[in-house]
Amino acid sequence: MMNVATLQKLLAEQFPDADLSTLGDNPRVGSLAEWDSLGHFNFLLLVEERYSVRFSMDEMTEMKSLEDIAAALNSKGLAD
Amino acid sequence: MNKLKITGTSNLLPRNKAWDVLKKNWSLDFGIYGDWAQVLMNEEDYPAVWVMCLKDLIEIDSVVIENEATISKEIDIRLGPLVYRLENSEATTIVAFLTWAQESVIAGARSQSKRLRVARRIEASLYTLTDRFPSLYVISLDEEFAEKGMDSFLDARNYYLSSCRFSFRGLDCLAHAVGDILHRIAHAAHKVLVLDCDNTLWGGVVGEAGLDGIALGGDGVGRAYADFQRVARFWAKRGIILALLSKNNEQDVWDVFKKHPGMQLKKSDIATSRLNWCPKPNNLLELAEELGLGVDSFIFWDDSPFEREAMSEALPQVRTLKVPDDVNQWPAYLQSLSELATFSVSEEDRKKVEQYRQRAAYVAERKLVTDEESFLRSLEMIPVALPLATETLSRAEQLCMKTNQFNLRTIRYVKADLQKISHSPDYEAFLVQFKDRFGNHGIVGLSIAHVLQDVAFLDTFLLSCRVLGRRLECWMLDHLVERLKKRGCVRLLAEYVPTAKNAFVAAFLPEQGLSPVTEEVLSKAFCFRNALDNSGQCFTCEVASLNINNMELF
Repeated sequence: MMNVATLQKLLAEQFPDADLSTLGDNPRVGSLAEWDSLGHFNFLLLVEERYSVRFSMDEMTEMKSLEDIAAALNSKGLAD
Repeated sequence: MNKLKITGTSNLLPRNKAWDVLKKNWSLDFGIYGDWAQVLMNEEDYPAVWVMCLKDLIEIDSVVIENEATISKEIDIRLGPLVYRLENSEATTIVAFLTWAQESVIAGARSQSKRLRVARRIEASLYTLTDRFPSLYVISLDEEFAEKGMDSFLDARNYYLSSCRFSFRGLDCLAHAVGDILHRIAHAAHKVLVLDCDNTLWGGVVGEAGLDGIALGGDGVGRAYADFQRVARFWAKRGIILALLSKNNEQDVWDVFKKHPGMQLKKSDIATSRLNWCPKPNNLLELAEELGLGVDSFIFWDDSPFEREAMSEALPQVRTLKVPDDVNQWPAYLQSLSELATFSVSEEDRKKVEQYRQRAAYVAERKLVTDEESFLRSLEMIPVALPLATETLSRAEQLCMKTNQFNLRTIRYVKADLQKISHSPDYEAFLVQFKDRFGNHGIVGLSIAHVLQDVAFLDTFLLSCRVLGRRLECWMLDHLVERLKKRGCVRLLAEYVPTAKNAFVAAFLPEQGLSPVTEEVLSKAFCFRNALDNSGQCFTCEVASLNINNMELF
């Protein structure tokens, strides 16, 4: 199962200068200053590249949190 | 860190991980999406990348294209900001353009599509601009993306979600292409391609399979090896030095070169080689010394992972290539190496190979002969003095500009200065042309003496590094002295001005019997007081009493 903790490591790669301790319980777009809509888009592309998956346009627009992304990856049968 | 501005007609997804490759050397500034025209025209003096997608630049369907002239007009308007920048800034400008679009095969079967006409024209315009502006570099993304397929580099989903036409891989490819060009602007290409023989130049081991047993030429993989050799020759013609480094009996290898009908490379294409059983890193160090190049100029090609590992381990500065497993990929891979590619190839580059070959032969032979004098004698050296005149001015200028090591005063004369000197009766100037058993080295030396009354001041005395170690400087000084005697000169005044690179010429003047200058001499030669550099060391002698060493060699 893909979980939020694994994705958080990838998040740290995408935002190397951000302070992840301020993320809170439900990390999502807006949880970090850098994690704006462009930052989110870049992060999703990195997830796709790293796990060799492709999200549909609907998935791209609906996923807003690490939990959403983990769920989408699990629905594609991905293990971490 | 230096700033690099990146702007484009498409959104380029600033801070995407794909751009990280450029972040090592540059601080990236993407500006605001959509401001590309302002960025190009704001006259700031740092390098800029303009990513241009034809679809964003021109809405093809809305443009009325009647003839070539109207196409040109549409294009010129849109390239206006680029041309403005080129005319107003000498900073590097890189244009990465994409003109490809999906079209039906039928629509293009009887006539070039409107898009293709515009695309070809815009491409031509960009390359015309590279002729006019040396600061402009062009990347055809159509070509770059073709290798792996447009599908993997472009992404319609990304375009409709965030106006970025590229996929993650597309951005990655773009960033690498830009990085390659910026790297080559700042760093010279590698100079030497070192090749293994067995299973690299041909299939199989010649020592075991014999001349008839190796795969080379014919159909199948032998043809790939032959093609690989052709590509190696292609590089040699562009000034890359080829060297062989192989664990073989030397004679076996040269037999293949001489006798095998499939061979594309000739022995004369190979500048130097080590065909023996010594460890390859040791051999490569010897080659580096022989060619007078740093090991970081070397590219190492070997099919054996073991040899590659040994090389990377021992000499990490050498670029050891991760050779594709499939030999059929080799010709294309070798052809596309950015490490060897340069922006252009000059006539001088083409000659370089021959010069390095001569140098390598010279150094290798010197190793065989222990007694240096008998070695130098065996070279059959023939120096000839040439006048400084119209036809030699360019070479004289080159020598003044490029010679760093054997150069007494390192004065960087340009052509106009040299022309004045050549016309003035107060100067005794000549060039030295030189050949020996290793080849004709061309014009390699320049001597200029300023003569006032009976005193001669050695204004310039230099020798190209190509021919150092042959005592040619002695011949040159002797020749000068003969000329000065004929003019009735009594005293020779010379100066050594130290630089970061000419330390080893420091001893030359005292070795030839010149002694440090005294106040008394200087007072007699007052006319040269102003010419002397305060940082230099002055020497002098009486022309008649000078007895120059090593003249028996010539």
